[in-house]
Amino acid sequence: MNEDIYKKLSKKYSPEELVEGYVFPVELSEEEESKLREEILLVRQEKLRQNSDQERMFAELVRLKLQITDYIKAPYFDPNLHFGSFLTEYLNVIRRSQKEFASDIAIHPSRLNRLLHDKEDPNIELTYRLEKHSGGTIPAILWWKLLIKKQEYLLKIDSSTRKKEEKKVKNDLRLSA
Amino acid sequence: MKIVEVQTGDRIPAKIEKLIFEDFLFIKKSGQFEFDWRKPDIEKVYKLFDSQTTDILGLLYIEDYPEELRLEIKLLEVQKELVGKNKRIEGIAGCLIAFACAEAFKKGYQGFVSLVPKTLLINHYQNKYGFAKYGRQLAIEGYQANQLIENYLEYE
Repeated sequence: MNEDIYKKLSKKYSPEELVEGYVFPVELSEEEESKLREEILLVRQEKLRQNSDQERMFAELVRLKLQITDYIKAPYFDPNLHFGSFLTEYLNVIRRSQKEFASDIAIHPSRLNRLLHDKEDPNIELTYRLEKHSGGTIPAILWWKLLIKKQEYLLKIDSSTRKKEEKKVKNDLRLSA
Repeated sequence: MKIVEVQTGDRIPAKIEKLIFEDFLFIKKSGQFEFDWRKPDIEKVYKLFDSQTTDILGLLYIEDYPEELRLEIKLLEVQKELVGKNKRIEGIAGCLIAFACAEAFKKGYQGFVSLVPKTLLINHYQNKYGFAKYGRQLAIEGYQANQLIENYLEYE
């Protein structure tokens, strides 16, 4: 049945068009399937052995980038996830001490410590440095959006500042019916 | 996401999510999909859909092999009308394959995604998406997998 569909489609479309529309299912016997799995497992194990530390680090950095991206898109705010917590994860991935890393990105170690513990927010300049430090793998905009996400949350819940600031406004437009 | 209207070059807002049972109605009613999408475990099937119309543009079935640190694309299908030289929208298959790579990075598989290709299509998967030969299978990982993610999912 699946093979019939493939035959029908391969008459209608060129190979270039087919790969833009399909990955076809392949019907294999249990024996064939198990052989294929053994084969790819061996190749995969060999490849993993050959992988350099740099390749492993790169994969971990991409994983971190995707975690940040998912969190930015998520509809909730988690106070335990912030710029500093993701930066801590970055340090774990690249296996550098705080002192070494502070020197790498030309900031004082005490400032780095404040950033890691969410006691200070990053500025735009710092996000550019982080992008450069990651070899472009984690773009500045992702670090910046983590700050925006936190600020959006604080803006919504900070009723005391809202009330305090509202008192300073004169001649506000009263447009409601 | 790089889902683009061919004639105008305009971006189509799209999302990828897990398939839900209600989607089978659309899949059947639309007559746009040839394969039987009820066969795979629904938990392993993802849909790429137009966020404005909610129309499903493409479907992806991936199997997880944790002991081999890899995901395998078992089946991928784009809406019939969006395949071939007269297609209205492009980039759907690329986005779905890139999505599989992203999932493989998140699982700690270094972005490793494999597929069992039809012989005739081997070169074309290699040229179009950067797959490489791993025995009789094709696979993508590491830098190439991230490249696919940047080209299709992070395209601005």
